[in-house]
Amino acid sequence: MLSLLEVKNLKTYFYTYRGVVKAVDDVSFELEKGEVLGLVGESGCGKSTTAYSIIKLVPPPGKIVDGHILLSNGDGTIDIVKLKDSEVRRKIRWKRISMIFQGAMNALNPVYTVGRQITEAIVEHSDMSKEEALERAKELLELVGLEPDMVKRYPHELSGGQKQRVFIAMALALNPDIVICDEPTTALDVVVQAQIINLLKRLQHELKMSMIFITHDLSVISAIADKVAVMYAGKIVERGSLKEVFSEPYHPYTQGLLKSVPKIKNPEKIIWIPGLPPDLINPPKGCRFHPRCSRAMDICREKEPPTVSIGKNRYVACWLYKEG
Amino acid sequence: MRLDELKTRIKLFMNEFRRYKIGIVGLVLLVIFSGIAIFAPLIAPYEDYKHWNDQTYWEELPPAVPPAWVNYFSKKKAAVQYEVENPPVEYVENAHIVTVEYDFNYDIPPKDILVKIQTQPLAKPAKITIEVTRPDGLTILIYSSYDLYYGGQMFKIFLGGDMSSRNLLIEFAKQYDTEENIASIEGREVTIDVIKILFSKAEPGILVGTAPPLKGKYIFKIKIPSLVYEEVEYLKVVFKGAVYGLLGTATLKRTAVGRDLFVGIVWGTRLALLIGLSVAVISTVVGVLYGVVSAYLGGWVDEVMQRIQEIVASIPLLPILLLLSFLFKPTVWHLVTLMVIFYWTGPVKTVRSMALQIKEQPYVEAARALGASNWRIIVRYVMPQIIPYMFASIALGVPSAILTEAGVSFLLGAETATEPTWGMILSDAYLAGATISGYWWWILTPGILLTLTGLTFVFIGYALDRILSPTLKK
Amino acid sequence: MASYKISPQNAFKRNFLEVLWVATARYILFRAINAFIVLFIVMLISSILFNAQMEQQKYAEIRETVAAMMRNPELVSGLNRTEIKQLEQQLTNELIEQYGLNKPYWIRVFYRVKDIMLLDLGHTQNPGLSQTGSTKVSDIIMEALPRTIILFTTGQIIIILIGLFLGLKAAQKAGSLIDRIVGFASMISYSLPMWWLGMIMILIFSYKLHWFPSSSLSALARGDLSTPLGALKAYATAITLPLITLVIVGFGGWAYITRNIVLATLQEDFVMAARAKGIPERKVIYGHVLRASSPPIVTMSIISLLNSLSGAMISEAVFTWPGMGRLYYIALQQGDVPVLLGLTFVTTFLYVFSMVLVDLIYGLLDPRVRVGVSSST
Repeated sequence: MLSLLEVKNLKTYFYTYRGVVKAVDDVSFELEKGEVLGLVGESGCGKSTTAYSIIKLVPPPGKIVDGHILLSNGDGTIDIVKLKDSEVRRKIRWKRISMIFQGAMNALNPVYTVGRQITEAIVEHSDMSKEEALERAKELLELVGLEPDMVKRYPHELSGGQKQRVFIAMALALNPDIVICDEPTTALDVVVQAQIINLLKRLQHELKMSMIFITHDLSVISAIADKVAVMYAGKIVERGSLKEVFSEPYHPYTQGLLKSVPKIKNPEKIIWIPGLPPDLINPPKGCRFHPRCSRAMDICREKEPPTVSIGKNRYVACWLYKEG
Repeated sequence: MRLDELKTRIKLFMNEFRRYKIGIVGLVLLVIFSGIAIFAPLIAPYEDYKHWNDQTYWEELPPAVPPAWVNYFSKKKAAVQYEVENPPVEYVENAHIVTVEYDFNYDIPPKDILVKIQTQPLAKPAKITIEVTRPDGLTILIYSSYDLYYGGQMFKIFLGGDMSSRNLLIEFAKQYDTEENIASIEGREVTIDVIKILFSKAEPGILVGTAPPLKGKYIFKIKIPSLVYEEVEYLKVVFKGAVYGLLGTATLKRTAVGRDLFVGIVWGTRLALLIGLSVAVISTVVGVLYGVVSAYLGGWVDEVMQRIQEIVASIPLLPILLLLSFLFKPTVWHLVTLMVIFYWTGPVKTVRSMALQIKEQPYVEAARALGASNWRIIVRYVMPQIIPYMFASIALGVPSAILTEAGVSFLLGAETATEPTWGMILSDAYLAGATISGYWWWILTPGILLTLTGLTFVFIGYALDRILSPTLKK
Repeated sequence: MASYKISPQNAFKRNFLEVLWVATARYILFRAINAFIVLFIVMLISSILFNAQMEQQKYAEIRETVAAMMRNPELVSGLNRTEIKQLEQQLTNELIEQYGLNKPYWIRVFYRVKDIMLLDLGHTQNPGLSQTGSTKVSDIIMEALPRTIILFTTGQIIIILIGLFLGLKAAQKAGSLIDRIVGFASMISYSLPMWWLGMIMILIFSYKLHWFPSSSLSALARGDLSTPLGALKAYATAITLPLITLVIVGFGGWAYITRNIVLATLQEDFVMAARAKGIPERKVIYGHVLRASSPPIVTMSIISLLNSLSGAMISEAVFTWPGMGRLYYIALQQGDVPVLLGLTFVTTFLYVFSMVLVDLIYGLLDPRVRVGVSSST
């Protein structure tokens, strides 16, 4: 059975005057229909870039240099990487894959009303008239728990949480197959965060949405994701179901991450991972994590570990593990 | 942010600056202009500049002629300035004849011929005549003195303007020209260029200036009675060029006398830089201090200071400046003061918000907790961060100041100025009809220099701005 | 910075309009009062400065009037020398009283300022300034003002169109050739004296090429103003050179300001969001980006516009375009004080109230200001 979205060996590099930044370096994962994939990692590990690559929105000097992004389409698939920009814009963006940005504070244009920004997306991709689109916009606002009259408001009149809800409503406007959430709660305070997460969970459940949820916050992931992929320095180091990865992490990095989350129930000493993420222009030779890994072996310093399958839909990229 | 940190910052900054070629260009230009300004006395005599408006001083120069190097670029060569002092003399029956040889190998004749004779006081008035033998063999009497000369002062004969020489030359020309042409100049004799007649071929058209030039050796004989000659101290003949100097000449208002533009331009550099820099520096410093203090004192003092600044900033500069300049006939320094009074408002708002931001920083709070006084905090913490902005602001303020002064000078005219600025030179140019008479050298040079000086500071300011506003870097 | 937020729970129908009106009106009112204060101060200072001169003129006028009256034979018949002198004195004093010249200094100044603020600008000695021969300063200025406005406004519109377009393109392709050109053009804008460029233009296009007349006045004089086509042609010929000069010097500044602001806007998240929504790039740029950048572009550009006003006025003198600038030039050369004062008033007025206009426009463009987000500038 074809996955809804399959990312294969994606490479996105940034060609800056200081050098080539290998932000996404050979990343692969699948997303099934109705699933929530959580993409976890530190800031700067390439999560957002991966997301942007999926809808080909990588800003220059970035470029997708290799790989495939296969979106299922009827009986076959489209490789988004191979599509022309105009086709991506017309066929993929918002219609099939939409995105919720971090910090909706700035993701909404301050000089346009909220309603205008929603209807704009609808009108662009469908045959609806402006009035019909406005009706739809009002419906969407209700869906996310806002007053439909808000269509007349300007973004600066809304609170942070409200703005994010607006954005969620907007993202759902065209009933996309996939919604990518790029750190949607990071800029909000904890109480609002919980509200938004609950909203997203509810919507995902009701509408059977497929989501890619990007965050560095493990607790958020555990609340919403079905599958998890852990990213480090532009590569995916571990993949699996939420339960599997969180209860039995294989990669030392994942283990370190989980250990650094403080627990309420069984308070232990917090152990953090020493060192800093590597420079992506000149990443370390071999496994990119080896300078910070307590279990680094000689081979880790020399060769990059391949991604091996160690169970059903369970993958790890570490020399500690072998296939099977 | 401490002072030694500031020094390292400066070093880093200099390295950054090198990256911006345009800033380097600006610096180079600045060095050149400063050089001209500083070494002005060595390049062009101060005496010349001081006597810019002195008619007698400049009498030997032709009015409104292009620079000498124009000859390299044109097919028609213009006569260059030729001066002979105390030329050879021979004694011939009771008179001394001063001989001046002039090689005329040009297409365009000199603008005028000036003969200057200085003698001691004379017992009897003298009658002086001038004769010239042309290459075509014709010998003409071109001057016979009407003015009786009593000596004791400089006797000047402007052959182009003197009534006696004009009549003689016109009569000479009439012999060779057509009836038509003679009739056509009836009543318009004053417009005839008699020097051109002197140097033209003796054929039809000579009277109206269409006859071709007569090239060759001209021999001028100035006959001075011997009694007079004994008393002669000094004699000079000047053939005023149809081109002159490095930059050409600018006519002195309402005269037929020109001034060496080179002098005016070189010395004008000083004024331009001085005005620009003083206005920019003083007004920026005042504005910055005003903004910082206002931000720092806060409360109602801040409010009042801001209202005052808004009101002053709303006053339009030019009308007031013109009004005041008209009343007081100001010197350049009055203008500077007035401009400062208006310009200081510029940086205030930006500096104030910068200072407010810095005020909220934790290290300032920490310093205050340690007992630092307001003044100390301002000097050690606030100012070092504002100083880079201040420099960019100064750099960008200079062109504006220079142009404003030039504009005001242009409108007001240069009547009272003994030492002109570029703006005043342009004002003269306009009034002399330079635009409609095609005196391009008079218009181009001051203007190009004004623009270049402006650009110098704009380049520097642009580089400074780029370095200090990383948000715009891509 | 918000002074207060409207919570969505309020029914905002009536409230919203009220709030909108009060917030904007208050803001604009504040700026308008500011403007009046400035105008008043300027005219006060000018009046004080020129007081001596104007009164001298008035005294001279009085002397002339009295002298003329004294020549009337009926009046002086039968009077001896002393009596004649007394009569002269008496008439003079009456006139002095009539003109209010015997009141204390500050009252005299105040009255003059009051007159000006109420638009009574007095008379000039020079009848040649007005086309109709009127000596009323207000007439003279009212003739010149529209001409300045025509020239300047047309020029600004062209500058805005070119500048916006180039600025947008330069921001989109930052670092490219067009970006560098815009940068350079703006530097030229800033350092090139407009009136000097005018002189050069006349030199090239009038003296050398004979394409245009050297003076706008002569162009207008030569033209056939009786027919609309003829008038149009005459005006077109007269306005072309000054207009080109204005545009060449002006577009760089606008383009650069636009470029900078748009560049900053382009970094904003909502631009990325708009693209993610699948909006075509053209709509993103000319819709979202331009619209969001317009408030700061407008303010900065109008400020630069006002600054270029002085250059434009001087250029009028160079081209003898019969507007306010040229009037200034003549008034300065001839020492015509009433006209100068009147010009100062009108120019300051225009200047100061355009700034109020800027605030209004800013308020229209930026909804954050409209609803009282920033109560202090």
